[in-house]
Amino acid sequence: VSRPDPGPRQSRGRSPAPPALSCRLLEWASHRLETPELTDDAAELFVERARRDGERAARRWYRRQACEAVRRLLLPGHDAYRETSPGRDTHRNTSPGRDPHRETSPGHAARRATSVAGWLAGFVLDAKLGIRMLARYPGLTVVCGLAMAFAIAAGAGTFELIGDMVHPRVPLPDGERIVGLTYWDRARNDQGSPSEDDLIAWREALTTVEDVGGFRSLRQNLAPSEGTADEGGEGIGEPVTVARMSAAGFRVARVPPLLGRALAEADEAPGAPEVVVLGYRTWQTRFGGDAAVVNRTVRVGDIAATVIGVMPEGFAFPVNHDLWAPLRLAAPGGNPEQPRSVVVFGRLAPAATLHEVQAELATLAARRVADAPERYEHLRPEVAPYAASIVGNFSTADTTLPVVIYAINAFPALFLILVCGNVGLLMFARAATRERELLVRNALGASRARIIAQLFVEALVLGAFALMLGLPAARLALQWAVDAIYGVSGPFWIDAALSPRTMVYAAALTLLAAAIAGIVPALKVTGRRVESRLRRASAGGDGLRLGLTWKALIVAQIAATVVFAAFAYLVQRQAAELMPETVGFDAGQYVVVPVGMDTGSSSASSGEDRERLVQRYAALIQELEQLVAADPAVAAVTVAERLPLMDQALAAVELDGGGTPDRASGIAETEHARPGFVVVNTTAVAPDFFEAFNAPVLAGRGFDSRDLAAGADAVVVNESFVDRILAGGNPIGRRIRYAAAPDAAPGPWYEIVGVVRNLVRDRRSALVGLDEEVRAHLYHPLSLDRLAAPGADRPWRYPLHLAVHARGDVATLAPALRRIAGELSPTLRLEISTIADAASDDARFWRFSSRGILLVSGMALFLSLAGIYSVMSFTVSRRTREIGVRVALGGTAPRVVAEIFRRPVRLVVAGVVTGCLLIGTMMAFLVAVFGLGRWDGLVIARSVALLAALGIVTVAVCALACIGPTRRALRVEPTEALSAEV
Amino acid sequence: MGRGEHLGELEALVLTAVIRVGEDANGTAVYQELEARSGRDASLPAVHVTLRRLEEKGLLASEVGERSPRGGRHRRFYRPTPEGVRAFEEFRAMWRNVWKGLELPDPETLS
Repeated sequence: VSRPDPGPRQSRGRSPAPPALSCRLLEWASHRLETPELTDDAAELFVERARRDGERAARRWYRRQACEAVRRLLLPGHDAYRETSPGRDTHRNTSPGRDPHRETSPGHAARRATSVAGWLAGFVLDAKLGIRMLARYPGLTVVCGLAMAFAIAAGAGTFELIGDMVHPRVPLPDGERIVGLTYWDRARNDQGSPSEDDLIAWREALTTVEDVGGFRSLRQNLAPSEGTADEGGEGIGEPVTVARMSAAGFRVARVPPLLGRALAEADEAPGAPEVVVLGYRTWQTRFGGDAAVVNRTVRVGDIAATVIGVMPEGFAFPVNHDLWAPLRLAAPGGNPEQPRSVVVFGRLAPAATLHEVQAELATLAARRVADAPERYEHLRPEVAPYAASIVGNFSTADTTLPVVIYAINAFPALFLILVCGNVGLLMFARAATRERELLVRNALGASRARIIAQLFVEALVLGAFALMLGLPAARLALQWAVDAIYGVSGPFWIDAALSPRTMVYAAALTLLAAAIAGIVPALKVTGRRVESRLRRASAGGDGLRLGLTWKALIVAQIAATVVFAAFAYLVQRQAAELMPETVGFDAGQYVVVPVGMDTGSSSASSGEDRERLVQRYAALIQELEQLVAADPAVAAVTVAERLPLMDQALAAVELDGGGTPDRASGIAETEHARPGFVVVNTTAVAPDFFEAFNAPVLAGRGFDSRDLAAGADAVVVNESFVDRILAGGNPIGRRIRYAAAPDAAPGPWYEIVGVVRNLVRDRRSALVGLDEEVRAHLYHPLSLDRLAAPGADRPWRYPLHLAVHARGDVATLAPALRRIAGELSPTLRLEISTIADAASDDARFWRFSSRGILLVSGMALFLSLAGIYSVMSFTVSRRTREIGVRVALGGTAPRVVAEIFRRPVRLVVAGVVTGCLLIGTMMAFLVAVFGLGRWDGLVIARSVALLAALGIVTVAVCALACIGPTRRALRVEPTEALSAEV
Repeated sequence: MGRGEHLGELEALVLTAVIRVGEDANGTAVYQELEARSGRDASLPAVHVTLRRLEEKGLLASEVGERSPRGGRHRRFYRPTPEGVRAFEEFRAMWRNVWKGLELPDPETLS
């Protein structure tokens, strides 16, 4: 054996030293392995090897030894994992001769010193045990894992969504220093928009904000071909969202263009050549990602412009824009009466704070108020983080809102606690089947903390898997929610990606989940009376019983399930009611075409210009309708102001001889309502509208050509109008007129000539406060010829909508329509979708929530039932011995079964009754506060039926859970049952 | 050594090495002996853990000797106990028995 002189520790000079990390690792492992000589020997051999094979080979060898030592330590069968925590007294060791090292080993003190490291090793081991336990009970693992994953996903998703709404973060370089400058209009108590004058003033005066700029957003046709509209340029235009934006915007965003250059100040000068910057998506879809697009001429609206650059993927500043053109401000002193409004943004100057900006703005504002009091007196300039200034600043507008919104986070958190209580119940069942193991370990010296730690780590392992599953699920759900809430036009900072903050939150939720699911059962299993239980367990008794806590938990669990399901049912029904449903036609087969027309630069303000423009618009629509109708894929085409399922215009109308508005039938008392008036939807439709939507005329007549003549006063109403306003009376011949302003002369009377079937199902909502939908409908004839007629008595709403009933596949219709429109006029802007997709935001939101609620409550119900099943099945299977004894003593099967079923069924019934009482109290409270008038008897009957069904299902699940183990127990020979140690 | 307990392969190797090295049988020497004889890449922690296990089984005894050249703790020297020698003898006899009269087929013909 070689005897090298300086050990590697002391050798700082030329002599070789083992790798430091491996050295420490080996030292630690050797303590844990209770082989204290290991380090010295390894060092000695290292020096010798370095001499023989070279230092590199020796270091490699040393590293391998360190790894090997750690590996040995972590081997599950290794006896270093004793049931004693490091540094613990050894008096519990039953066999004193077992470890001769223990008394003499100098490692004893060192073990205490390395207790942290030991804890770590214990943790790793527990984790391994946890994984093994998970693999051993796959069913339980799947149920518990899914439950936790679901709860974590719900929590994280909500957190992210709420966070995005309350504190939106702009994903641009130093995005948190981008600000928006707005006005708070004290007169209207709403956000007011700054004018171009303000932009100029702020840009020149503000020192705390740099690169002050502004933008205006508009939809315009983009055609990838040269030539202007007047020159009859070819190519089909498709609408894009255009930002007329200051060049400063690109400096604020700090994102360089992918190709070419961004806008510059020179482009904003009056008379400068027209230029545009393309967004990535536009570049890809319209120009096929052609790198030679720069310097090409395109047509935006009716203006030819040169492409000067392309922005990189994902860039959509200022909101969700696809194309950027320079913002040309009106010449100073242009039209002070009607200043054009812009959205103003900027970047905080280095070291400037929002407070400083606010102070500077206030100083500037004081000066402006002095100059023009009537215009600026009620306006208070405000600065806010950019995204907040666009979507509305929660913190300045309303201080309670963030609190409310954060409180929403509490619901998923509570849901998580509920779910984890459930998981805890299952884990308890599993822990209880391992009771003997745990008790014996306890007796052998494992501390209670040690066992609790083990169960906690096991739950944590489960939680880690759930987290891995839950985060992608949250991301998917978020994508779904974002799509449902914002559609395709969400601002660029709203994305479905999970922020690091949310990840941390999700991790915290996981810890909480593991604590509830792991520690609570562990505390119960390792309760105080361990010795007596041990005795009982070793005597083959039925050991652990469900204590009061667990009984209470099971009852609470079942009650919560019932309440949750019933509540979900009510909300879901509400959502279903508010979700409009079409009658007599398939919304998916109808294409909506809002027909927009680019007025371009020749923006008409004088009345005469406007009239000409409207005439051109009406003529174009008529021509378009004819061309579309000629297409063989089109079954029918019609024109209307608004189509079914879209937001409709509301108006207060008065009936001759007075209407009998039936308040209980749900006519909303909105701001439009006045005494003697009723609120209805009004729409102007072409005569062929009802036919195109397959709505038969039920009484009187529909529209025909005579209604289009000047002075015609015919209107048609729908079924709901008759039901709700006339209470089923005969409407034909009755007259109706619009409410006028109090001091104005009343408008003309219209005569009701017909009744058509409802296009959207008219359902009454049951839940209080949500019944604001007006379904009574008043139709006017829409005459395209007289659209521009001066003195038209009823103003129409731009844009008109073309409804196209497709014969076959709807998807193939869009390109055909675009082609037709492109050939007709490049100024026509078609935003094509189906009626179902174009449904109002409300409809979309309710569709989203109704599906969400269904998913959540279904999941909750499933998990609850799975939990109840497991626990019941477990408690019965623990009574095998008792059953055996009963049978041996001559108990008949029915009696024994009755006895066995009594306890669990009692629990379940208690839970169901508690739940019903809670729901009943809730409903009684609502009825007491809001009165029974709005409660549909049918809804109550259905709710009761639902509760009964839920109770039956729960009891059935419970019975099902008991049947298996009971049958098995009954089949067992009494002698076997007596010796059974479940 | 109790009934039903047999020497494992590594245990047997380590025990043999201890017997071979004789008086100087500390961890390093046993490791080197093992490596030299078996031609295998042995693991030092495994050797140490096995030494300790053999001692717990009563097949080896140990005593603390001189300090290691590193100036660290005292080194531990192992020697076989009578049970150890017997266990080794049993082990050797068993394998002798197992292998007695065994004729191996030519590996070439098997492939």
